Amino acid sequence: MRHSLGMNEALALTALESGDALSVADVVGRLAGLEIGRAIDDGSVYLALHRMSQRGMVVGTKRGVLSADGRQREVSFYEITPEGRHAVAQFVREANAVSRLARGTA
Amino acid sequence: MSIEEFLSKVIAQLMLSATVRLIEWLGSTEYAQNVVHAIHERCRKQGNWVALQSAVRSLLRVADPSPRLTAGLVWATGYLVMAVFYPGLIMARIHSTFGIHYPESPVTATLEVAFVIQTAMFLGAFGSRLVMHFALRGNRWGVRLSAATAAISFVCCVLGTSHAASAVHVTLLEAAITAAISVTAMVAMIYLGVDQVGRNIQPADFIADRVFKRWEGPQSAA
Repeated sequence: MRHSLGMNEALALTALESGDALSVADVVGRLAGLEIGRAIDDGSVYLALHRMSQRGMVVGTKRGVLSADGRQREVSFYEITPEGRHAVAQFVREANAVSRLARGTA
Repeated sequence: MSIEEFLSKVIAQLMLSATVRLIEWLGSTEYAQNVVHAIHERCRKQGNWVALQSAVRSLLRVADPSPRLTAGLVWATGYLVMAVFYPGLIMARIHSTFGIHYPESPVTATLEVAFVIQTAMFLGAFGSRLVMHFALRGNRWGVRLSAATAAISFVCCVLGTSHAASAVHVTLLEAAITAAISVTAMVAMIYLGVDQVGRNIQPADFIADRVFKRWEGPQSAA
């Protein structure tokens, strides 16, 4: 079953498109400079990635990492799947259509 | 550094620590591990206040309650139920302690029965809570022992009802009605508790697959 992406999901998925395995912190770091006019918190990025992993758009692998507070934590590192790339491509098509409509060129 | 800057830094740090602790307490392990790591990274790169804002929003997004939260909810509900019974019990105890005639009205007698049942009910709730705790961690003996605790408390509940009923001279019907109410409350609490701990564990599957059938390992809580 195809699911259309929410904005947070699309942003997180696009951040993963480079192919690297990224943690929630890494994805948040990549989204930090986008200036989209609203804050994206760590919790919503995790929930977006978690939802997408249930839909097969990303796969998560747990790894032990040392957090900045000096504590060892088991964190998921997510990678995009072909299904995820397909979803991003579809989202971009839809976003372009919205953009064309907004500019009156459609 | 001025005193205002120093105080601001200390306050932000304290609030951030408290918020992170709350996320760890209220969120599932997976949520807490991933989100708290991200919050600390944000704190390192963007400072305490930015991290604090994200942490508070992340706290509000805890959608997957931890076993601790579930236990808290179950116990809080239980205490709420107890609060209805306690005033009558305390009154009856005062009468009894100071040699005042113990009012053996059907109401106080039923309260006495209820007290015994409620105590057993809490043991049952605690046992089932431990079942969840160990189940989520894949500890099969923990599950078995906790299930046994819950089962024993259920037997105590039945025996206690019978004993209390004869001690305070309530009719069997009154005792049965009280027992039915209390046991229904207990089952509801356990059901709600189990249902809240991870969407993957449903009561029927839980009993069938994890207590009576061969253990096949824990399911993901998140």
